[in-house]
Amino acid sequence: MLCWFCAKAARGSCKFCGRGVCEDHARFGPFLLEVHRSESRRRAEGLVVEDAIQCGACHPRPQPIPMPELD
Amino acid sequence: MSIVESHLSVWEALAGRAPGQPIGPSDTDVWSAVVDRINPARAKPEIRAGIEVAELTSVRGVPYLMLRSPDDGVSVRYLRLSPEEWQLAQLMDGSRTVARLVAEFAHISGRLAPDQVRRIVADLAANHMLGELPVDAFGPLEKVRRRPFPLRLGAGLLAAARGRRMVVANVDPLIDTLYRFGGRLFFTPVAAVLFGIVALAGFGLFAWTWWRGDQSVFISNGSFLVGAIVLLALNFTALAAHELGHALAAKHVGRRVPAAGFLVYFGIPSVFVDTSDVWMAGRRARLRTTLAGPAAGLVLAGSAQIVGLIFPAVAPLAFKLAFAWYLNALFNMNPLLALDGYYLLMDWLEIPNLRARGLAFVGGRLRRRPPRWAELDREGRLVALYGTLAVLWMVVAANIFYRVWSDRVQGLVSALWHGGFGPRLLLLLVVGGLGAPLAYLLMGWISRRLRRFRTARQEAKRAEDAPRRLHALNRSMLGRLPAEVLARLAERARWDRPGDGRQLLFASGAQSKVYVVVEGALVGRRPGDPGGILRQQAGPGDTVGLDAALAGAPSALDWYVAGDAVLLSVPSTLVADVVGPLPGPPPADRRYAEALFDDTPALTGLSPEGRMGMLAAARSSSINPGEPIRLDGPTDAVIVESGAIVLPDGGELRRGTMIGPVGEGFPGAVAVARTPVRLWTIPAMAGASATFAGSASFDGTDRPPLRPAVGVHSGGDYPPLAAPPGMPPGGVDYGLDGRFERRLWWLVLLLLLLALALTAGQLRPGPAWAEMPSDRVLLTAETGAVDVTVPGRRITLDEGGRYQLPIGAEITVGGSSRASLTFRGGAISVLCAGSSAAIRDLHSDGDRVRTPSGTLDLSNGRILSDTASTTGAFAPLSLEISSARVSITSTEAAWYAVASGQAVVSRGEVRADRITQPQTGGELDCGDGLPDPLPTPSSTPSVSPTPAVSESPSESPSPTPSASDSSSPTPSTPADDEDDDGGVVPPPVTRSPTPSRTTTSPTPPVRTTNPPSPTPSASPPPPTEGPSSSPSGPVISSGTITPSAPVDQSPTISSVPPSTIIF
Repeated sequence: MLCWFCAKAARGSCKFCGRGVCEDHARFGPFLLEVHRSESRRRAEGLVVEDAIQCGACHPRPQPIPMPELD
Repeated sequence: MSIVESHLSVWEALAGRAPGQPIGPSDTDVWSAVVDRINPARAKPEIRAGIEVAELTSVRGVPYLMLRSPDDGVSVRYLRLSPEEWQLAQLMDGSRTVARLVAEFAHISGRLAPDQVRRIVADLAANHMLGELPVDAFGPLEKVRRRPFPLRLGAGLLAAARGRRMVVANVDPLIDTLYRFGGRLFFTPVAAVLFGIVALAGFGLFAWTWWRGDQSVFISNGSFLVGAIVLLALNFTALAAHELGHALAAKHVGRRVPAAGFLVYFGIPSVFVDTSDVWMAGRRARLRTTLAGPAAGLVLAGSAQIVGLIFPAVAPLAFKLAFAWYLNALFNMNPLLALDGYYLLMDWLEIPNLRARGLAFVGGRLRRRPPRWAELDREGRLVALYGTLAVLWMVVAANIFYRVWSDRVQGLVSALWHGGFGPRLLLLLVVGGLGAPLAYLLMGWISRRLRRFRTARQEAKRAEDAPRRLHALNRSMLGRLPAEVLARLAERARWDRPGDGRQLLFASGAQSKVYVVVEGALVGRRPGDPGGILRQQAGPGDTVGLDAALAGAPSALDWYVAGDAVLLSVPSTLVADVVGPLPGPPPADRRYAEALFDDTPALTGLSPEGRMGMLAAARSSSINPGEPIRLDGPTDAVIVESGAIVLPDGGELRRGTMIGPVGEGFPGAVAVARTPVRLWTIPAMAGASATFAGSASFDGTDRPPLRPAVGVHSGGDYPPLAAPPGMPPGGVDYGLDGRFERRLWWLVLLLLLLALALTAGQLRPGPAWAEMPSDRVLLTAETGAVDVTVPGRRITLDEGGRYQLPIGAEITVGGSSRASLTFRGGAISVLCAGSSAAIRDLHSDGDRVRTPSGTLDLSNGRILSDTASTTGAFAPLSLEISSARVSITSTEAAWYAVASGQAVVSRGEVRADRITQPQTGGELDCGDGLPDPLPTPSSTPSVSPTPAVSESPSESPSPTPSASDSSSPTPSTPADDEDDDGGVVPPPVTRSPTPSRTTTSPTPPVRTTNPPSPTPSASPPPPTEGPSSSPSGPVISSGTITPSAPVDQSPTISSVPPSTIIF
């Protein structure tokens, strides 16, 4: 796989969209690995990877979108 | 490679929004919330309710607080904080961010210390004292994928062998009851005096009993197997009593004993009690609790010995129990191991990591590595003296173990080694049990060396290892450097695994490397500081020596390794070369800033790296009179370099004063310039990690790897001595270390004298019969090989070999050999060359004084017997020798020879078929021409010449003139051998007129003074040394022994060697 930006050999892929990124174009940020509800602490909480690879080109939407078709 | 600045929302970053652009309401999404949650600077720690706090003072007068986490079912944690730090911790109510806490701490302490605040938060979190308890979210995944049962069982057994605690139970109520109903009396002054007397008297009794040899360690009811089982059980009892001592002492100082259970302790099944709670009670309590274990052992051992003296029936058990207690105390007081002895000294001196540093010093000096003694400061000398103590203790322990080996275990070996498979297996188990701690330590050492060797081999493959080095650099504070710079550093970097306690860098010394801490920690202290004071601590991700490398200055501190550290070392010159000029303001401005930092009291507590980070992020500005002075962010602070500013309340500030940080919100204008003012704005949260971050956008947010994960003090540390690093607090006692040093010198001297005394004591052999059942006799092949036939087997003992013979054994001594039989109590019979004998009966009677008795059948050759016991614990041997159908008996101390049914008696009452034999007072020997007719003292320590020897007509140059007379062989001819009683050849056996033996005489004087004599034929006696020269009369006894030995061994007078030995 090649880097999406410079076509050099990719070192990883974006956690959100899968684009390949080389060492120079890799960016890092948090990624929610799992969200669950803790019964003992009575709250929703998430497991986070703090430095997951992000390409910076994709646009994961921050807000959920309704999916009534699945209801 | 670029980093998404985590002070922005992820979405913002992903959308390519410029940093600092306001975020719209619609952007308050899950991703920005995630970013906010994981930003340590924005975390709002909340301290838990129920934390117990004890206000204590160190031995050097430094006040501190010991915190105990709430007891909520998980393991209790302890943490030491300074009063200022505890004041800050109390502000952690969940409403203040860490950034705000940095500001609060600046107000409390007058110092800007972002790294210290981060460390406090991390320490509190790691020790379960913050509301958000650490949870291992991925741990349950391991349980999902369960390994096969054999693997789990093997892992469990391995963990148990390595000391994992098992069967833990809450024993606090039980200990509390024991303490209230009697245990508290043990801690009264009267009890202390009484216990001291009992311990001393009991130890004296034990030593006395040991030397007398009337009690065995490894035998119970005549069985070695039962003895081993009993000893194991008693050892367990001894360990339990030791731990009970600790537990009661912890109760005495008012603390809890939450847990107890079993564990494998240096390879020995043992018990434990958890007395960690005594950390809340201070130094004296710690010392008392630690001391209580060995003291309990010593007192109980002494009591057991006294009970054994009063009631002889229980004396064997009491002796074994005392042995187990003394062994346990010796083991526990060893400063080489992290046991009671080490903790006592460490708590007494209050210097952490004393053992590792002390041993590292000794090891370093053996390798001629610095520092030398003359280069040490006061604390360094204390550490070095500890290392010396440990070495001396090793000498003492080696002496004691050799004594146990030579006095006891050798007897065990001689009893079991020739006994077939079962006894040999038992022997291996017993010796393995005794040597388990050593084997445990040895295996641990080998395992570590193998692991290190494998790691070194992998790391030697430089190309394959490069990603690991790069990764380690990336996770350090150097990780903010450009990728190509990191690659160059990684190319030259080397892994370094210095031993725990080793001094790595020297203050004011040349520094050739920059160290990146990958695992473990380095601690820095300034020479001359009081003991136990650390200036800095560098944990994973930190660097040591970076400031010195970049500034070209020597290190300001001595740096030591703390724990099993893994470091990555990079040449300082390379770091200076590739990193280039220091980040931050241009050189001219930088000099002003550095001078200003020196003049600012609030910045004096910064570490060199922290200061460098602060400088890198600092920026200057000039303000005209009347203009406001603003703080752009909650973590910003300004320092006045020149001019004067006025606060809203009218107060005027000048050079070296700092305003901010406020911690939260945007404070805006905080003062007004009264004159032209030059200011420096610094991000107060910067700390060391900001060094390479640049100053433009840094707001205190760290990259994840730089956030301390477990704090400075992990749970494995010794919290009472884990003093927070920093400047020596005011009021610290600088003179105490001098007093400690003087006392340590005395301790070294005492231990040295003890070591010398014990080493000298090795010259006195102990009782060879101590570990011999009453139905055994110890056979020693003194010269040549000896054949033994025990029921069912035939064994050949080589020269020097020993074997505890059972009843029924038959002995055949070769023509050029000689053997000895040592009976319980030290009586000895020498089987001359060509003799054959059988053991018919052996037993002992009596409690306080044992009477050993034995029956031998002499079918051929000659026996010399000395039936006197060498210890008061045994009466003289009652010996019956059947020879040529004649029963020759002795019931009291006697010295006589038997051959062919006839006895030649030198001394004592001996009967032949109930007819008392005349005493000649003459000398006896085998007359077999062998160079040394006496058993060597080492092989039969029970036989030894006494001072009486000097009075005997021996050939040794003793002070008495007569001694030289007998040194000449009797110039008799074979014709002279026949005496008037019918051609009987007097046995060429010499014997001192007053034979007496002790177990303590190391070397017969005759042996030390007589070189090995030639055979009789080779050295005919000089005519000048004829019998007439002997003032004590002829050495030929008037006995009536008919020689029955082979011709070449016939006890003719002419065959008496010149070196005839005198008993």
